[in-house]
Amino acid sequence: MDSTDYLFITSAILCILYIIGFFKFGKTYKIFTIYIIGVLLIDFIASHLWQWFRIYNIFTHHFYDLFQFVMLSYFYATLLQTKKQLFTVYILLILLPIFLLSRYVINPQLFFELSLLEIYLATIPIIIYSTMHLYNNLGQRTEFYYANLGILLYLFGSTFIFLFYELYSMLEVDNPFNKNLSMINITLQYVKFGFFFYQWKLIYFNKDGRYN
Amino acid sequence: MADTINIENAELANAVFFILLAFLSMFLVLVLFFYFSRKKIIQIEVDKKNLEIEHQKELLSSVLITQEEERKRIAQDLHDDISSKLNVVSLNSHLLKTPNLNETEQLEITNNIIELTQKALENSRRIAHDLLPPVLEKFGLHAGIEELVEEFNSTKTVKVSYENSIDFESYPIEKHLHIFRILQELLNNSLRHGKATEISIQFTTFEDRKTCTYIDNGLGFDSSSEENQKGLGMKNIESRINFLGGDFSFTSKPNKGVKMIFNFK
Repeated sequence: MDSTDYLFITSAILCILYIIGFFKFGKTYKIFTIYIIGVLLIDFIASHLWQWFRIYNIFTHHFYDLFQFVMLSYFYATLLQTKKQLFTVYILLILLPIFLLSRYVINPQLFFELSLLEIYLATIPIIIYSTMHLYNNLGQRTEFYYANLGILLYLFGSTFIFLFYELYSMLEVDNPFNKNLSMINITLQYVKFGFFFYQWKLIYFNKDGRYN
Repeated sequence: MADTINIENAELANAVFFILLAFLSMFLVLVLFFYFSRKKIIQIEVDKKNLEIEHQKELLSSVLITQEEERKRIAQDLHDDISSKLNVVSLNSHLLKTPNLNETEQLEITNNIIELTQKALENSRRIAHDLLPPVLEKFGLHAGIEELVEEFNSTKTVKVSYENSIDFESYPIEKHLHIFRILQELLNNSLRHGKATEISIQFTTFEDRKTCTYIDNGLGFDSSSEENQKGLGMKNIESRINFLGGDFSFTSKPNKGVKMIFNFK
């Protein structure tokens, strides 16, 4: 087993824990659970495509980005409070997927390429929503505070990792650099899972019926 | 060959452009976050202070209302217990001027005057005592509370026990009255509203912090309901504890009596 397998196991345990409370807790919890399960499945299938079917997994990244964008947009739509914030979330939730999908309809070849524009457009709004949620948390307790921290930290790091990964592969930089990047990515994922585990513990074992 | 290099260069430039864009975007998000957070934190502080000021205003207004009510009560006492009697004294004195009064009549009128003057004197003493018990001024808080407790015990409707391990003599005299009034208010409330039959007052001291624990076995009330916390009496107690530089906790449940603990410096 390599380090990615351990990552999958950790993620699977996390999913099981979140599934336990699936029917007990509210809408936000359900959306978040679906998000982490979806991300695990997409990641798992993508990493085994070559092994199973001899297919390159580069196109799975589009599913990952789009799925993450849509699910986390819904997630933050249930958490954010002001009309302005919600308006931003819903407008982008409609416009961005239309824009990204229309690119592939116009030029299907793009579907088999890694798109930096897509990574950028699908991640930055989530980082903005996450920051808005952090801002809302000032002076009052809001739900999913720690999960939000995990998402923010991971997206901050992973966006740069993917962009640099692309740059390195273009420059044909030696293997150790790529390995370093993937090590940072794995570490960031563990940190993210740490936050998600703690969030689950707070939700599942809290006594006053409130999320933290 | 040149075309391939150009395409590769364009892709490279593209990657560098997006890295730069991502850096700038995240930097912008961070800056905006700090800018708005700072504004929000200041707003939260302002709101907190405003709330404090609002609370102080409420306390002040309750002090003023109490003062007015006290004046009204004193005016009523003076009018009912002294003025009315002095009126009759004055009337009787005029009667003395009436010509051809026989000795029996004169004696009757004089006795009336003496009796009424004594009553008026007694009443004025009682009013003065109610306003500020002389024992408090002469012998200090401990004796004042003892007298207060005795007064309540003498009604036979309630049994008040009082224990004290604080030496009030070294305590600033101007603060004695605040503690005395707090206890007076609590005792009156226990008797009037709580119909308590047993009350305990205990003063203890721990590490320079003096604490008073007041417990009764009366009807009690729901202390978590906001309506019950807004009574004038409670506000007065709170403002007096504020003056003493202490804080208090108040717990009560219907039919479970009340428990109040307050401390003071």
